[in-house]
Amino acid sequence: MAHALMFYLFAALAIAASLAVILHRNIFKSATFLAGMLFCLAALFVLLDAEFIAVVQVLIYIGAITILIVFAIMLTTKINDEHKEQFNSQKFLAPILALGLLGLILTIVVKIQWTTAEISPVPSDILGLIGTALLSDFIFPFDVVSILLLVALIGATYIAKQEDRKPLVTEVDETGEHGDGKVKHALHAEEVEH
Amino acid sequence: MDVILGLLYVVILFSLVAVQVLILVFMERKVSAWIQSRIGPNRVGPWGLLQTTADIIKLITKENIRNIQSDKVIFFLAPILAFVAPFAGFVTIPVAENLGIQDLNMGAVYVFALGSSMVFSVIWAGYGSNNRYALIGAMRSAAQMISYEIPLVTSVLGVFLIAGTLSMREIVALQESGTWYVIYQPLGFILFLVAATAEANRAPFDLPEAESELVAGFHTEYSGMKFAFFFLAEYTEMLVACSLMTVLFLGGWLIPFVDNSQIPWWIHIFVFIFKVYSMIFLMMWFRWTFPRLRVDHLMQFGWKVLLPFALVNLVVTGAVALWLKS
Repeated sequence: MAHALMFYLFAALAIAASLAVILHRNIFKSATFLAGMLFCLAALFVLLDAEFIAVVQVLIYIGAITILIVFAIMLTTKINDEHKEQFNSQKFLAPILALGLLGLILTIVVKIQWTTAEISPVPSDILGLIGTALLSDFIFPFDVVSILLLVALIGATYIAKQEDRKPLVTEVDETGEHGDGKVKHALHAEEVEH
Repeated sequence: MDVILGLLYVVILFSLVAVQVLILVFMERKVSAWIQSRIGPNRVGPWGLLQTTADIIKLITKENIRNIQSDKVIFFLAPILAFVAPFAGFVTIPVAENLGIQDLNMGAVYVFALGSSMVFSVIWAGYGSNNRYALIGAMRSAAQMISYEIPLVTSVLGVFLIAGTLSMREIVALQESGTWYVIYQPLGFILFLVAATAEANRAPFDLPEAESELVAGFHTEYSGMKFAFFFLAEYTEMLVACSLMTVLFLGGWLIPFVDNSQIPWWIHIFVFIFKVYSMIFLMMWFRWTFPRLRVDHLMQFGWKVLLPFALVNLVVTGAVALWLKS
């Protein structure tokens, strides 16, 4: 009973938070709601006895990815404007498509006969199983993903360094303002991200 | 029933942590006084023992000031998250053989996950305050915490590799039959100590606060009880980090060269507390010995010194473990 109650509570919170991500006018708060939504998902994983996935969800999604998004928001000027047009020209088409997709998924959910297994879906030594699987059966995809990340890292560093090589305009113009303000700002953003 | 028990645990743990923080603040003042050849607090109560209590009463009774242009909700949430995240880490730390709230089978990762969500509280505090100094402090702090999290986690991977488990209790039990992991992982221990000091935003890594340039960093706008929560959070974080060090590297509640099954559990608790406080003393010693780092030096130190050493440590540990196995 309490279990089901918790499930509905966190599920409702997750839906509310994801709606807030899209509908809130302040983009910084949208990012905060995104973190809240991911936390609710972690709570749902805990309810499913998948504690490891819940912990990794918090560690990677909240601790790393959302923080990076927040960084990008805070280092980009003028993105935090609350008077900006929030939706583009597809604001009528997109909800219709989304509702259609929802209807499709709902029909599938209703039509399929769901059977429940007798045994517990998550074995106790989940960590060992994940580790063994990653380094034996799935070693190839695992390595490909690692190389992809490495390539992305090198590429990002190369682009950041290219900005470094550009000659900076350091003269002060008549108004007394530094001409390189924007360049420096962009540079700073790159530095922090890496 | 479970809910009531859980609430009871929270209340007990909170009072324990609050008392620890009172002691720690007093200790910090006395240690700093001793290092700087001063006397330290000596007026309130015998030997100044009630000084921190008086300070807390002052903070609680102070008026709560909020900048009218600040963001009400975010401003309010930041100190709460700052305290709750490290506080929840105590759930998985075993103090003695059968004393500890819950032994998760990925205990250490759980604590790191909570630590990583700490960054949000700092960013919220900076954004919510609507203050330039607070925002600069928050950005610095967030960059620092993200950068030092990586060597922090990488430095303990060696321990997990040797132990073959992530459960705190099992890691301590394994150190009973063998030696403390600090013997096998001296480099890992040093890296963890440095990275943990940086994660807790303590000197010489206290750039986010840097009172000489940023007033008080991300908590410039906070006063009264909300400020007290940030204060509480810093010491709670120190307690968690030192408890982790004790469990992962220093054998938890175990006494070396003795048959530990013969020793009563309450002595184990004192041994654990003694080890934790020794590590905290080391951190305080750092604070009053080293000058503050510059921002770029701080980042370079994290990425170009700590991280490569942590990776080398991991690779060497793995190679030796493989060699011993074959």
